[in-house]
Amino acid sequence: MSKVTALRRREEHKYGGSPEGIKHHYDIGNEFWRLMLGPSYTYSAALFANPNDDLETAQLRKINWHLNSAKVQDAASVLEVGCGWGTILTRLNRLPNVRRAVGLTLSQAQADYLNGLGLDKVEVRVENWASYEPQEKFDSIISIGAFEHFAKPDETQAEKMLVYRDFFERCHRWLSPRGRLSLQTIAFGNMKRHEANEFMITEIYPESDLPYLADVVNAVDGLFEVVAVRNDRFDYARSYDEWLKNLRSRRAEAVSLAGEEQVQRFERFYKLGSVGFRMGKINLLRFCLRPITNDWRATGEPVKTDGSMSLA
Amino acid sequence: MSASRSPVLTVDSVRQHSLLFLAKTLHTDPGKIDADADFDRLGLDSVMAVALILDLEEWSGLDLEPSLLFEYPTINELARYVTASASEQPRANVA
Repeated sequence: MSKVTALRRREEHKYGGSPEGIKHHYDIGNEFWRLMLGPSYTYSAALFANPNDDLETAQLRKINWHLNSAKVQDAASVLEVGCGWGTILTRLNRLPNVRRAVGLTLSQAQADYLNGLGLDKVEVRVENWASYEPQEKFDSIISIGAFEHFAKPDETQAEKMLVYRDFFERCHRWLSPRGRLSLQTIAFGNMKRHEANEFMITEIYPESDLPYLADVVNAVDGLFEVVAVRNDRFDYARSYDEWLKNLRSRRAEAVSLAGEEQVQRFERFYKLGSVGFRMGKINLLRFCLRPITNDWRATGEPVKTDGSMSLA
Repeated sequence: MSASRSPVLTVDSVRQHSLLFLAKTLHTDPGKIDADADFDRLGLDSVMAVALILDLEEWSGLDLEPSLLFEYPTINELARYVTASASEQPRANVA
C-alpha cells in the first residue's frame, strides 16, 4: 500500500480537507458573512494597488489577477477548488468562451446559496478534491483560499507533503496541456509550525494547517512550472482591517445574526490575522502555475501573463 | 460600555492603563516596564499585542486598528496617538 493510500485510509473522509472543520468556520450564516465581507462576498485577500483602493475594487483586481493567471480568456472549461459564495463562478458564467464551470466546496451553506443563483453553465459539487473524478479535462483551474484546509495539524511534515503532492498530481492530470493553475494560499512566514496560536488552530481553523512557500515549490516539482509567485501579506492585513470595519460599523446587526460571542471571536481573529501578516509571521502567496508537459506546442507557447495585468 | 462610563483619556491615563495591562500579561511590575521601549524589546508577541489593543478598545470605547502597533510601537507613542484620536473619533459602544 502506498503512503498516500495509507494516509487516506487513516483519515477517511477528512483526507484533503475536513468537512467538519470547514463547517465550523463557514457555516455560521450566509447573511453574517455578507455583512462582514461586503458586496463582493469574497472571503480571501484582495489585491490592493494604491492607498485609496476600496475593498470592492481590490477584490475585483484579485479576481482579475487569477482569471489572467489561469488563462481563462482561452478556456472553455474551468474548475474552481473551493468556490466560496461563487464570485468567480458568477463571473465565469458570463464569459462567452466558457462553456462549463465546476465549483467544489465542502460547505453545504455555500452550495445552497450558489444553487439558488441559477447559473446555467455552472455545476456546484459538495465534494472534496481528493475524491473528485472529472470525466473531462479543464483548461483552467483556480483555487483561492482552500489550500489552507488541505493539511492537518496532526500530520507529520512528510504526510502533509503527500497531501499537497496528491493535489498537484490531480490538478496536473485534470488540466489540458496548455492549461493553467492559479493558486492563492496563506502560508507560514517567519514562524515555526509549533508556534501557531492555539486560538487560531482550535477556535478558528480546526483541523487545518498552513504550508510554507517551500512546501508548495517542492510539491509542484516535476508537475508544474512556477510562472509567477507573489507574496502580498499586507493585502491580507488590509483585507482583515476592512472586514473588521464592516463588522464594527454594523455591529448590532452582526450580533443579532451570529451572536455576541461569534462577533467577538471574529474581532479577535481578524486583529490577530492583521498583526500576524504585518509581522510576516504569515504570508499570502499567489501562484501562476503551468503544467510541465511534453506537448511541444504547449511548452513552447510564450507566457502572456506576468502577474502585472491591468483591470479587465 | 456606554460613553458616559468611559474613562477620561489623557496621555497619562492611557499610559497607566497600558502599563498595568502589560504588567499583568508579562507577569512583572508596572514600574519595571519602559514606556519608551519598542514592544519587541518588552517581549510582546502578536497575541499579547492584539490583547493590548482589544483591551484598550474596550476600556476607551475607541476603534483601534492593528496597524497602529507598527506605526506607534511604544507605550508612549501609542498613548499619544490614542489621546489625540479620542478628540476626532466618536467613542462607540464597545460591549
